[in-house]
Amino acid sequence: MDLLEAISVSKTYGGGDTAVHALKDVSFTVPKGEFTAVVGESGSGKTTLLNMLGGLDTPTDGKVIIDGKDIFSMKESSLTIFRRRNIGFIFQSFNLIPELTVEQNIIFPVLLDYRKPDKAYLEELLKVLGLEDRRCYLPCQLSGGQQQRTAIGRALITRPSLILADEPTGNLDSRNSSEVISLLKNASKKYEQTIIMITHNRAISQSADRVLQVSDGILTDFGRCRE
Amino acid sequence: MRSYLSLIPISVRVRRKQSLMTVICITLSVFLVTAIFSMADMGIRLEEANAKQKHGSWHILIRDISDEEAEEISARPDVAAFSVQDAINYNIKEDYYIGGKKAAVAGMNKTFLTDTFDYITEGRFPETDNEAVISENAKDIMGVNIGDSITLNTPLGKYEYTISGFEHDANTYMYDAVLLCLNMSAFDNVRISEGKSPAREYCYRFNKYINVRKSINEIKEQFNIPDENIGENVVMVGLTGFSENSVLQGMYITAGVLSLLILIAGVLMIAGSMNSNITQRTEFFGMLRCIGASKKQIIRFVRLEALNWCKIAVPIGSGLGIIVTWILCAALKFGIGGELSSIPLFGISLTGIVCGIFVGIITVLIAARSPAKKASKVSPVTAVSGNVKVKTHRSISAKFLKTETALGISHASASKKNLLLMTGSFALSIILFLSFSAIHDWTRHALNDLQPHTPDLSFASADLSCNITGELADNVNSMRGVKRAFGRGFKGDLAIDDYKGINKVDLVSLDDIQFEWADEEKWTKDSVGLERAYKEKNCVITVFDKDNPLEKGDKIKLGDDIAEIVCVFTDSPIGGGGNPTILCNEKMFARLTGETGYAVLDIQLEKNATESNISAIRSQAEANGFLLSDRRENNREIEGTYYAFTILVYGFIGIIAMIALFNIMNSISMSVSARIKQYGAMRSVGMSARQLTDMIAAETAVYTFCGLVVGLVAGIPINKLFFESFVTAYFGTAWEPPLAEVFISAVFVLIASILAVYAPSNRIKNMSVADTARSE
Repeated sequence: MDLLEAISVSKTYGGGDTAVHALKDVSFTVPKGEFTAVVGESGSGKTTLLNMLGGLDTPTDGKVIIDGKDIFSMKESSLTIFRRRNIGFIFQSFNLIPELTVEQNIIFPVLLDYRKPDKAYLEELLKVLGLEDRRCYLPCQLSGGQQQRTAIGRALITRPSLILADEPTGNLDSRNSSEVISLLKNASKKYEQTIIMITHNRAISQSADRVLQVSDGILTDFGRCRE
Repeated sequence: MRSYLSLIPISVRVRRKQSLMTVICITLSVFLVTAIFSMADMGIRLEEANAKQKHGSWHILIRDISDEEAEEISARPDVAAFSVQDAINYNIKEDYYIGGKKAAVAGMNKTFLTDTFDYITEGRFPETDNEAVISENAKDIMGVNIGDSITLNTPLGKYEYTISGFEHDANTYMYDAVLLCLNMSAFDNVRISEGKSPAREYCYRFNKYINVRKSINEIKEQFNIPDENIGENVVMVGLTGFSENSVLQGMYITAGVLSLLILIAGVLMIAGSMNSNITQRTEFFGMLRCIGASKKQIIRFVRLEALNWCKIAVPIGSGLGIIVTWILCAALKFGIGGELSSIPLFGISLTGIVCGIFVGIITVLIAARSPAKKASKVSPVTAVSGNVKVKTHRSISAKFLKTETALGISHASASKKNLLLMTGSFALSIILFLSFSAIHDWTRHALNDLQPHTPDLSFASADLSCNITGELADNVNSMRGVKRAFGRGFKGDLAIDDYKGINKVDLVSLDDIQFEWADEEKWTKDSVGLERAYKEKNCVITVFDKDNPLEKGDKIKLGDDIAEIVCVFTDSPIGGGGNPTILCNEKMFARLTGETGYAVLDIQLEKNATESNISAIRSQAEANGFLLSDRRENNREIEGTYYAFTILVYGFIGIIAMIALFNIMNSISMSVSARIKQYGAMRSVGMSARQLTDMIAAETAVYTFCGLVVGLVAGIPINKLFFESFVTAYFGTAWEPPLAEVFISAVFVLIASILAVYAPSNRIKNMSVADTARSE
């Protein structure tokens, strides 16, 4: 069953002579539980694609359907709530709230949803992410890998069906990178989550279930690696 | 953490340094409002105390109604106190004497002497018909005490009384006479025996917190009382907030306008600082949006964050406001004294504190609106892309300007909202300054008794006839303790040929020294006209008055002469009687009236004049049958009020200047902080510290220029409005463009801008290029 479906998604910035076609008629589907890597050169349109998939930016043309819902037909307020509950974001620059501890950073999205965090699930996440003994640390007291693991925890806490990651290992060394990726994969497997990740790291893209390449706004499906 | 909003207090703790500016802005607003309203409150309390002391604790006084009607009015539920009085010879023109001193006789009920006026200083109200309270000065003059007998000698008889107490009424000192206070029945005995008809005056005080204006109108209507039979205690009615007196209403409007201006200044200041705070945290808000915060949640977050700053700023601001109020009150009480010594020293004004808190919170909420919306509009993409894109649609034009200057100008004009806020805050300082300078002009005009001409004592004949001879004037002039004596001739109701609807004038003569003062103290700006009036024949001066139609160039027939009005006094101590006043030199006065003496002789005392010197002058006056009025206490009060006003007005201008300076420096500093990464990038590609300073200076120059233009365009009409409604309407001085004030505000804004550029550019210079590029 497909979790995500992109239908003829195009994005053009500007108009006339200065128009930039960032995405050109992109269509693909991602089944539930799949780990997809998106590769491509700088400026090829990867981040634009990710923004469209996460409903952060609106396409000039086309549709994005997640879990059977056309996200761009929703109102801004419903889209926010949909995003809050169904999509987890992981950024290259971690984007943690510097004044909150690891634990507080992780539960923050739940609080935005006016719910109480599930304590057992939080403990489980902290254990899986190896942050149990760092729960009261502030981001500035953590290593890059630990910070990114915190960000992963934050993305997982709402049990989203889709995780969008924009170069999550871009700021990490190779040891931390592989650690983060394996954690992400294990977690997604455990919680049946779909991951779409932008990466420049060949090793990571090779470990993905499937690789999509974006080049000059055009998407090429390299197919599923293990099939 | 229970809610996402719990982030706010944590964030405030951590981001203390970044929030400091905003907190200071809020503190300043709260402080200002608390201080102003507290001072106003103290001022009202002082005025109330002084008004009760001086004019009595009543709101309205009604004449020509029957005792029954008076009783009926007093039974109204809104009336708190009612008293009655009547008087004989209150103007001391008739021959009533006690112990050889001129005397006035008053009858009253107990409430009048003990509540409406708190005048009894010793003893008690005369309960029986043979008892009397007498003015305190009788103690010195006649050496009498409580229990002693006194005799009132009237043109028709003699009345014996026993003194039951003493009272203090400043008027008796002024007119050098004694006042005898009797109860109503004793008074009526005298009144009937003397063949006087009753002239009862009923005083009413209303309850607190009622609409006094409405009550007065109801009474007028119900009892058919014409306007001339109902008097208001202007100060007391004014203090209730329902005065119809136009000066007081003008005051309310002014206070309202100024409060509004302060509110706007506060909003601009806080909004400006919050805006930069938000700009610096765009990524943070983008991230919040990304992880699921709705726009509403972001707006709530920013608002609550702002309110959270109030938790720190409001108590500090209120505290500072209270302390500054105490300091100001102490300065007024001990520094000036006199009338101001009854100002409460450690008074806490609930109104001031509540207004401070209220205005603080309202300002913050209003100020937070736009930044909150701005934050909510931050696209979640900013969190993903990791950098905040500054959208610029125009490239800079460096054709005629250096690149750094062009960049600076472009920075200033990049965001319309920011330019508007900065221009607004610069302009507002100028507007406030110009408004206050107009009020200061009013103070100067209204309290002009401090000028060199102000007399300490005055001799006058009872009927204002010119029988103070030049010889007597010379005599007084040579007395010990007298610095100077100068006189004026007076001829009231002098008939003239009907001109502009006027057929009577009051003619007053001026001597040489008064002509000198007229020039020196700028009673008029027309020194040529003044010179002509002094030297030339048939040249006279008139005094501006709302009801006086005479103007310069008018010719009126005085006696057999045609006199030309060659000058108009706009700001003089003389005049203001029932008829238009015409002033002329002594020669002309003598020719027109045949009088060579003075009606009034003013005396200025040496600083070291003793009471015995004054007694000698008093004896001189009495020996010649003149009344002596002692204006020293009055002068001291006016002096006190003048200094108090000056301190307040200058204090306020000082605070405005401080806010303006702080605001300008803060705004520039925050604008620089918001762009510091860009500056780092520029420095890393070779921009020198000097060029960077030039760039910031160019940006500041745009704000300064726009602020000055808007400030002057809006401020000058407000200055004109205030000046015309306070000064021109009452003193006739025409409004002139406030060039000096414009110059001062321009220089001030320029200096503030230079200081504002210096601090942040210095900060960047002292930071390494790498730090600048990295800093957030």
